[in-house]
Amino acid sequence: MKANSENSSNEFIPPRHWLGVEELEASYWSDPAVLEKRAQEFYDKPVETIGLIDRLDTKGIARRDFLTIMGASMAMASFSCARRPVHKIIPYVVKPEEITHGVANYYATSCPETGYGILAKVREGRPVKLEGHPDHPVNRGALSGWLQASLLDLYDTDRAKEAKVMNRGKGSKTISWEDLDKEIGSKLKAIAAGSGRIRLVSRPMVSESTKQLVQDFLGAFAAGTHIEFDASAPNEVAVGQLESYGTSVLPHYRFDLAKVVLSVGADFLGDGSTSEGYAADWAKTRKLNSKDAKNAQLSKLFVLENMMSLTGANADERIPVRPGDELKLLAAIAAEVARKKGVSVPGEIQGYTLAVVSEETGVAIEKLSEIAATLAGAAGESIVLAGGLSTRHADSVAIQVIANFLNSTLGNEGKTVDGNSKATFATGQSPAAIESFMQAMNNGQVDAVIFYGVNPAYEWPKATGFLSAIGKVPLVITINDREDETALVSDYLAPGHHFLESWGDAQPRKGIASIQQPTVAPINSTRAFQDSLLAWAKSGSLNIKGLASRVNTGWYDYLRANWKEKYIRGLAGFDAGWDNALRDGMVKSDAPSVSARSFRGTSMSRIPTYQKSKANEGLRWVSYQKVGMRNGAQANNPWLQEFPDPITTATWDNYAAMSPKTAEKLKVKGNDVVEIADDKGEVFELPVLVQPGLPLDVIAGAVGYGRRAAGKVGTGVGRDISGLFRAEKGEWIASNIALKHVKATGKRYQIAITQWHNSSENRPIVNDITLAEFKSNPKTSNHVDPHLRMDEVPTMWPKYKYPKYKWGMSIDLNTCFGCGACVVACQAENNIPVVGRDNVRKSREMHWIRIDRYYSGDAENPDVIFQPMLCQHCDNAPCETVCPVLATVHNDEGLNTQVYNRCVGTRYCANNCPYKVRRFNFFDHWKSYEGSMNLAWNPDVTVRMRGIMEKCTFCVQRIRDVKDRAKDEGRVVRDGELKTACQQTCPTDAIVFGNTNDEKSVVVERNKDDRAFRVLEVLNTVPAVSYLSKVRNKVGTNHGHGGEGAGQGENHHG
Amino acid sequence: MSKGLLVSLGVLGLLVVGSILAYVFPSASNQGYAPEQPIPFSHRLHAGENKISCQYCHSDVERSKHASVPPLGTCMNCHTVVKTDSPHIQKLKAAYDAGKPIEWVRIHELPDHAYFPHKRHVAAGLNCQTCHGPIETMDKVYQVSPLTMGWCMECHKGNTMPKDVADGLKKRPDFDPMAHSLAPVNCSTCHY
Repeated sequence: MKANSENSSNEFIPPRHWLGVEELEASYWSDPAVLEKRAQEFYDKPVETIGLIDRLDTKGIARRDFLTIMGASMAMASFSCARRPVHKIIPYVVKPEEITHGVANYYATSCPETGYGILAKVREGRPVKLEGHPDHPVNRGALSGWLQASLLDLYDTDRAKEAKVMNRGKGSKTISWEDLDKEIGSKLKAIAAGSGRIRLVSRPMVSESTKQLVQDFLGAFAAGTHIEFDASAPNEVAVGQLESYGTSVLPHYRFDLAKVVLSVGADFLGDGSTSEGYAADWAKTRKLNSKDAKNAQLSKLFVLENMMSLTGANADERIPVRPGDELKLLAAIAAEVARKKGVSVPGEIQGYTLAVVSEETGVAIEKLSEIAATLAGAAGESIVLAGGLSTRHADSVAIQVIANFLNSTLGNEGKTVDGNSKATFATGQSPAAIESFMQAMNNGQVDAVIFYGVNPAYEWPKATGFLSAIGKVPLVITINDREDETALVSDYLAPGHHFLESWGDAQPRKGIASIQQPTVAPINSTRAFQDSLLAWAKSGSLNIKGLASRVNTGWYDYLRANWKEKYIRGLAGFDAGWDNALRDGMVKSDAPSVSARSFRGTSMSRIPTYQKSKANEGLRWVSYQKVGMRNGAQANNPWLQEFPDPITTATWDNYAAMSPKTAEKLKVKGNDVVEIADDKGEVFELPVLVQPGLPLDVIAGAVGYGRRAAGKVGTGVGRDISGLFRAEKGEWIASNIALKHVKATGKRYQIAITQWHNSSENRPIVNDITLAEFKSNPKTSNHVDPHLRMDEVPTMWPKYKYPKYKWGMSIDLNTCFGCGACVVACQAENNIPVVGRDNVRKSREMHWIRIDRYYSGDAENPDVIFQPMLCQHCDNAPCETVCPVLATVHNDEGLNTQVYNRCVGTRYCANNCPYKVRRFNFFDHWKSYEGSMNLAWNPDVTVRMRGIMEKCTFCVQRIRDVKDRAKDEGRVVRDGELKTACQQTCPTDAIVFGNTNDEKSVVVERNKDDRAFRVLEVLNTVPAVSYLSKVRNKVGTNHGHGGEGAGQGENHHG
Repeated sequence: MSKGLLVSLGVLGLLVVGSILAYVFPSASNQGYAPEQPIPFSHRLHAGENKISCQYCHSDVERSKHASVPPLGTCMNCHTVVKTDSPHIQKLKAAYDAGKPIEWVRIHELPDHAYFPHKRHVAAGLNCQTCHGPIETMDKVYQVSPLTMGWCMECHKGNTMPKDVADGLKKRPDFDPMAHSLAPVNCSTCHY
């Protein structure tokens, strides 16, 4: 399996799927340095790193220390091992009735930020794993990576452990809750008696009861205002909806009913606050069955975007566009659609013809007319959506208005676009409201501010002048979970609970009232936000109407009273109804009927008449949110820091992403540190990451990094880019920012990127075809290598017998969209440690399941395919034959098991594994968990020490658990009863798991599909994991997939 | 030097090396371990003479991998009236009233990497005594079985399995007469 160039004597055939653009050059494959790298065990040796933002990279023990400790412990061993240490058994004094020692309880609760339903697995009173609530209509059993990881936030040792007097960052000191209440109470009393100008600032609340309480609380003040604002929420969508339809909502999109979707920068698959339900719906239109290939139907996803988002990576047709061109392109498409539908084209967009826009933006006219024609052909069955950080520039609202126009013209409004069923989105709270808030603070017209769950000192653009304005407010109280940037400019920190510790509710959609119940006793001396408000209402004797009748002891009473009034009214007994709600996690009522809202033609006045302009030429900055790190609120979460970004596979940093051509133009390579300066004097440095698929001259960077006060893990990781942001005329601008220069500094910084850690050596690993190919011959989607089919290979190994169960998995690459929720779910379930940035650089990351991302096609606009890769549990496992101590062996259910206590750490198995899924503990990585973080370990899984190998077990502990239940009931395990952690959290059911001895199981059915292939079947490893080829709904252009084996086939057998 | 002295020195040397090795690498087994407990609870008295069912106290044994040591509340079910004059019971009551648990010394202990479910073994029909010995005669509990892997395996293979348990397993519908063991002996049966 040597490089291409050796085999094809004259002509270089670039690989069909590649990891990076380097592989497209013939010279790469003969470069001696690369050949050496590819031949050695680890691709990357640590390069000289620069100290840009280098932190937490030596959390493990340095080698010298390690040797010292080893020597010492050898000496100690002879003394300490004589008798095992005495362990104590400490039983309960009175055992809580619901606890059986060793058996988990599951509690239904909700995420207060998104309203997702959650099942918390609780062992002996502490949550150890979060799972989506399968019956919850919003997320349907799935949880995105950041919510899976929020479990670790609960046990974060950097959370505030008690109330603090913050002294505006000039040294904090602890204060008892009683004293805090007294001090704040008296100050609030004075304010209430005076002018009462108080502001409560939070993110948009999905909890109606909390909103109600805030209103009640603020009602005691003459001029109390609740500001609900989230800098990272798509506020422009709500503003656009308000202008076009008169209601400020984030519409609910019905992707399951849409045959055509056009997204302009909206990352509906990557935005973890809505993506679970959306991805599940979208995946419904992406399922295929080879038995009915002739009539196969696939929805079509068009994406116009100025960076590479997860949605863009999953697009059937993705068109990179320069920031600032989106409005023109969308207007041209809208005008064309209107023409095709026989609707009069509004005057505002008449000038935007396909020809002129195509000429100006460089996007092919055929593409634009194809989009318009496809949309026009799917009236009432399509969706046009836009919004998000990458389009947050001067045109952001105008783009929304055109999207709304398109949806109304196509008759999608009221069908696939549902503006009725979601609650009002923080009415009127646009950046303009924040600007007037700043003004009021600056003018000394604000007496007190309470911040709850929001961190404006970090999140809001510096340009808003928040840091100076807040200094003019006499009383600033922060109710966040730690001494973060905002707490440091406050007078008091009254730390709130984690959501797993407190009561609450959530109304993510009309007709669903979801309950949030505590799953653990508070870890620290914290207090629920709502209880703090009630305590201050009491200590300040604030006059709150009707409060006494609702509250005896606090927020729990208030919540119950609210539920009695609103959600459990119809039921005979409230207590029984409440208990049912706690058990089910929610109360459902009839959802409002969806009706088409009428489009206000006047809103089109937002759109400027067409003008050819060069305004957006030159270097431009685009901001975006990473799938894992999002807005940076969870920066102190090591699981998320080490989560490889689905597109770039980078961990632990943000970076300046640019296309290969841009990099060439700027004369920089990956890992070069560049200086970025905007036209307003903001200058900072970032390392370069060459990202195929970006438009020319666009530099894209992620928010959420460079936290100044996140905690031991998150502080100072990456670079805060919010200095670039503008706050102008009531709009916040995060993208299409003109850059003065981007120039190399001569410094180098190695981004901890996992891309090259597992080289495919140009072997066929993944398979993707077009819909037309699939229809004409579904077998094309069978593995590229027809010579060695699994069942036909004679084998010298004796065949294993699997008397009862033979576990197998099937992964549908057509519905896997690369979100990586499985990676974090696996980490939580299987006690997978975090290794830190420096160890990731050395290929020592420990994830048992990883998402491999391959590009194909044009380097400036590649197709992307994601492939979850985990232990394949081979029948003829190469790892098993080389283990000298039989630490990795086969069991009678087809699992390739790893016996930790036998392993001596030769690493032969990892070397011999063709899938590169084995992970070695170079250090006692588990020791990076300190204090309360140790409560997050799953007690059913061994915590591995240094010096041993580990890998995916197919969640053997879950297999044991379900088999145990089946044995108790005297039956076999039912198909679908057993879910691995990765499968459980997969929003699109891309992963199925089951007993392949059972001919009726879903996994067997999928294996029989013509699309099924196994990775590297040629090696006759006989994996238990099969994949279903990806089918793209596009015209094949750059692949030339003429027949099986085209492309790489000859490289192997030639 | 005489031949005898050489031999005896050699033997002595071997003994010294052997005992050092035995000291440095003790057997994994703690067989016979019988530590003092904070309260000298007698199984002979409770389970033997008074014939209290094992599961009255070890109530999770059929439901969980742990047999579970009872909470103090279980002791106090009887000891609010029984033997209240005993100093040990007074110690127990004081702890109960103070809400402080008694810290028992653990006797039977498997390493963290060994998964052992009580529940499955009881369900297969094993008696407590098969592993824990004549517990109903013990005033002070000690570890009867070696609890080593070899000891587990002998039973799983069927060699030391009580006949009634083996017969029960053989009668199960899913019993495979060709299998080389009566109970599963995969590594992953116990280690993961």
